Amino acid sequence: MIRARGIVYNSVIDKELRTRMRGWRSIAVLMGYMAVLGIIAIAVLVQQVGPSAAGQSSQAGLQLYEVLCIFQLLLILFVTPATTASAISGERQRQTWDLLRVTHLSSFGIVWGKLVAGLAFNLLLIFGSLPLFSLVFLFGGVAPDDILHTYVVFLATVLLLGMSSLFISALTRRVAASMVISNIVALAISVGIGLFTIYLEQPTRPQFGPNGPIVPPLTPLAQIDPLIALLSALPNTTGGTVLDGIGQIHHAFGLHVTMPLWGAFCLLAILISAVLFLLTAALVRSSPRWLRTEGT
Amino acid sequence: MIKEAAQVSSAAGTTEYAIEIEGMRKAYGRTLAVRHLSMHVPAGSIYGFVGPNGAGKSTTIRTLATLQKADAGSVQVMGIDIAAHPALVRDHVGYMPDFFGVYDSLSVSEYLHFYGASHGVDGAKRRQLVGELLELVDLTDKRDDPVEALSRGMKQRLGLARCLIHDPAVLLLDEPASGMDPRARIELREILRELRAMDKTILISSHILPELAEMCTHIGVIRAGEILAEGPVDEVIAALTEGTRLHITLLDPDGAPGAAQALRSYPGVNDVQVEEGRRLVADIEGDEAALASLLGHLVGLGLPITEFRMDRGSLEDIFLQVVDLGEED
Repeated sequence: MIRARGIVYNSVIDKELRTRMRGWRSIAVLMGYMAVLGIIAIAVLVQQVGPSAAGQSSQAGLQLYEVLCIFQLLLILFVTPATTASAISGERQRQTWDLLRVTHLSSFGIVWGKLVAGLAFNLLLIFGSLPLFSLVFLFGGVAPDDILHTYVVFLATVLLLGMSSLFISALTRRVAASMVISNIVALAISVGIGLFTIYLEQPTRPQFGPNGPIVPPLTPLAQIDPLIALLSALPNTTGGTVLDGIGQIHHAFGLHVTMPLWGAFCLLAILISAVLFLLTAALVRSSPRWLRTEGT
Repeated sequence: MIKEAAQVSSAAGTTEYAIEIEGMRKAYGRTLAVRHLSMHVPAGSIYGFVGPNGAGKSTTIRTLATLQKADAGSVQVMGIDIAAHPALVRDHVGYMPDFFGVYDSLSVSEYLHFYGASHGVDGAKRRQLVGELLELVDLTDKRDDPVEALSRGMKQRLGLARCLIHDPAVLLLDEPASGMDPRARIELREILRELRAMDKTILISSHILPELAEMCTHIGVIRAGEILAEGPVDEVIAALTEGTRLHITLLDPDGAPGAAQALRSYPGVNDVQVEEGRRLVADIEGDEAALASLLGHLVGLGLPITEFRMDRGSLEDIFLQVVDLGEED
């Protein structure tokens, strides 16, 4: 049953899912997404062809897994803004925004509906790629827990990018503007922060302790970078993670707790998304005049 | 809260005026869109909202549709204060803006179902309403067509059906006939008449003045954010036009100079002109009794009159007068 004020499922979600999934475009994006990941998987496997000694198989599986994860995250960086950045600016551009605002839907209902519908397609892509990821089990080297951790990072990334794109969409009148800004923001919080972190990690003078060189902790800014979070969740050959020691944080949210960096990223992503949700709902409710597209 | 809403809701429909605005003010930054607007739309009327561009019509309608808040003044719809209970007001108001937005890939009936669901109209009732509304706006055979494929006139009719999907008592139509061809306008007029017969109150702003005069029971004339006059159409026209224009046609053109002389010497008659030989036009002050008296006077003079017609002016005259006043300001 469709209800205007349904807490979980409302008329906006129903309409968005109906229109988004209809037609060739969604199928084309889904197939394109799978094709890119499939080609990457084949390319990695072809590179691994040859006589394998014991242990080499698991290394191949690990390498396949790492490459697939990084490419999946890169795809998410582009697809998520594309599916959510037009949610509100698109309504303004096609002049349906006021018609929606005079209905019984609350501002929370509208934003929730837009968010859920935008994320639903991303979830379809991410979970649709699971069979490809299961290929790594043929080679070994990756535990189900590792896949669970990386998928949690993917979901948190989709939530963070989806909500920030939706917020940008509420701030803009035109789809093109919200798309461009959302993509810039997505790149800034992933690649941008990543590069900045690497820059900060270049010590001018290496420091050594009794057990060898001292590795300083990553900048706190790294905790909102999905790329770094993913690296902290990816397993390595020694049973640790790609980032090893620096992938752990010991001071989170002002508390002395030790947790993997990807865990802090997920919590921060939820927190930031919640704040952006409230801000977006407030923008929808007030609908400032500078965001109106029609005449007086 | 629920009890309060129920009380407010039960008050709706018992008021003489469906829309009542007192001293409304609305500014956008330094621009004053509505200065001190007071208007009263009787329940069950078709109220034409007339005024030049920038007079404040759309601002007033958007405020009534709960899309924006007034800076000052009292705005009530069906006796409900908009500022205090905007959500309740939405139950009673159907809003049709002067543009028509479409969703790609939605069919006509899906479009109406979406807005019905968004207004909280549940399943069975919604299906029934969609069918009835499509019939009302004559789009039943287009129910499965994509909305974007409809002509402009059809889209306007669908827009009208959309704002009726929750069965509101008050319709706010902002330039509903803009861009329509003559046939579509006639169809719209017929639909509005049907809606009035269904006891809907309709506030309609339009630049197509002859049609407003024909379909409206009341008008309000707005200029620079203030209502200049409002009330039944005839009364407003009479109040805002200066005197009555008199058209007289004689049987014989030879009698025209004598008739003109007789008119000029009659009290209250001004600006007598002879047109096309046997036709005379004059402005006369006074009521219908004065006209009857003048006719008797002319007939008594033995003038062979074949036509004696008064013209009290029209909405166009009022509109032009209002625009002229605005330019003088």
